[in-house]
Amino acid sequence: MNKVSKSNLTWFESEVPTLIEQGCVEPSTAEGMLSHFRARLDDGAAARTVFVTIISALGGVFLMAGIILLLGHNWDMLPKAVRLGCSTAPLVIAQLLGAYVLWKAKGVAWREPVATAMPIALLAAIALVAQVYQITGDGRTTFLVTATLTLPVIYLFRSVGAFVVYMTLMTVFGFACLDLRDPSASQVAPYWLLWLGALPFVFLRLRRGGVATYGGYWIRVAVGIALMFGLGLGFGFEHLDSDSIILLFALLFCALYSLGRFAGEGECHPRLRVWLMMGQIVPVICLAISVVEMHPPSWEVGELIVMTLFCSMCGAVWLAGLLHARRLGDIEWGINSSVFLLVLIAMVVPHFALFGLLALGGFHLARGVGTMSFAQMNWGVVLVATGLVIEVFNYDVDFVVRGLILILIGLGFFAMNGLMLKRVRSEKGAL
Amino acid sequence: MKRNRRISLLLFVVVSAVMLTVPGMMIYNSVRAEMVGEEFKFRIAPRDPVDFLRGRYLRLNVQPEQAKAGPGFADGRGSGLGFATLETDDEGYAAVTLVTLAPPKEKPYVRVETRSWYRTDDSEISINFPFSRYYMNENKARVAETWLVKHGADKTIHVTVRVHNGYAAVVGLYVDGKPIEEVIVE
Repeated sequence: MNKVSKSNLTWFESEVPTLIEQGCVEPSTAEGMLSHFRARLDDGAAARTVFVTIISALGGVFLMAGIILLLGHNWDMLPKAVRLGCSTAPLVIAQLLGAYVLWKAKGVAWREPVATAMPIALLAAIALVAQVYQITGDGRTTFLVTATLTLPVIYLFRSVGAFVVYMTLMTVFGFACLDLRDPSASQVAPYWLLWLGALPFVFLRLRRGGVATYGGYWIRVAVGIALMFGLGLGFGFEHLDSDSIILLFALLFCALYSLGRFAGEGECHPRLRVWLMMGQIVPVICLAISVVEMHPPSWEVGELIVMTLFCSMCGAVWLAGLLHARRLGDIEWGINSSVFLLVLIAMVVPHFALFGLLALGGFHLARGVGTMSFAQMNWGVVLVATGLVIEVFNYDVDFVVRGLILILIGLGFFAMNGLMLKRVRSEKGAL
Repeated sequence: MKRNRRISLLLFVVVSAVMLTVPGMMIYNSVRAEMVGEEFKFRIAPRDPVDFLRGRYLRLNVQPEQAKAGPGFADGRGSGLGFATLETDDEGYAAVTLVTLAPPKEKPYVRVETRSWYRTDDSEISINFPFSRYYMNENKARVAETWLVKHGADKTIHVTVRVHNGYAAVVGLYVDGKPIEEVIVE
């Protein structure tokens, strides 16, 4: 039997007095219907459990990164064997947990965090062992090896989280290729081979789970990022410098995002709406990366064209978002659509990006807590965390402070979700 | 169902083993080079940047930055992997006699990254050694940086490296023959 969402039930409850007043239903019938639908209420507990687990994994990653930074700060006092043990321990723990999950055929709440943690732990192990042995290493090879070894993990654990990490690694590998001024085909070919490796998962997962799910949405975002980056790389390699290629990628992604946002609106569950704007973070980060390095007075024609196109696209998306918000009567959509405007201002005003992200994050955090929406609350935490991380890592801040900030962000994730769960449970108990 | 689970687990064990092999091989190659590798001293000029994940390090401008290019590099081949054949010069420092596309036989060599676009001469090629970073505790690295900016120009700085089968393990960074860690304490 189909479940009824909380928003639908609230709407129905608000309509009942009018229906009774107009004589459409008898009060006793209305009461019976209300009881019927209240019994079918889907409070999203199952989805929330998975969601909270995934967000907790993200908090765990921040926590782990913070602890590694604190350890790494002073670990030349420790013997080499201990340092190597610390470097590889997260990977070994993730693998043992992985074996347990596969053997016991655990559900998605176990599979997702364990599979997602594995490539991150592998990357950390490679970086830290390289530090212990003073190996400079090669970023391209590291990302390529990690992505290649993540591929079987995606299929074995059927993990969307691992898939997103895989696509990210693949895209970072593509970024690393930008350093090659005269790349040979064999050096860029792995990017497209990694692409091919991911396609069966995309098709299988979307066919089985559909697109209107959290997993389906994340798959589309990751595929969009990687595909648009590949195209940006392909179009721009011979003619543009690396900063302009990043902008071109942001432009292409922006276009895809706008298309998907408006064309795909009908198939999307209302709960997913807040996640749709996650796509905006990609151009935001790309701009933050490239604008820091670029010097507008010395821009050449190619860069100016790309920048003009990008700004036009930002403006178009913003206006379209505002119109859409007006049609829906939803202030949130209007604010979300203004992210691009905030980015454009941030390009001119120093530190505006930080304040913009903090303000936007604070808004979503407060609104998420108010409406008891885990998704919106965590989106707020992600925005605040992004602002803090970008600002802190942009300056020569002590590693202990960096470590502590990462730990605080990780604990923040846990605390916010814990408090929210407690609140949801107490309200449920009151009902 | 149980058979599928066993196959999945078996595959995962293989993948996990390969994953562990990556840091494992890094450790093995470094330990092997430390134990049985031939020692070379490379002249360097350090600078001090930051790695977000791994902390603070001194960037080493390892010398030489260019070397004679072997067959295969002359036809416009791009950046990639090369093998630098090593010798010790009259002053006791490492010298690169030739950079080739394949490892030389019976001579010490190290894997290098070749960069053809900096070439000033068709017979030479730019090289990057795989030990261009020297990681230190962030406070020590700051002191080392300040010290090297003030006094580095008058000193002889070198990095000692042990080389085995193309892999290099850094032994230490030395200023006038003393480890940098001791120099900054003084």
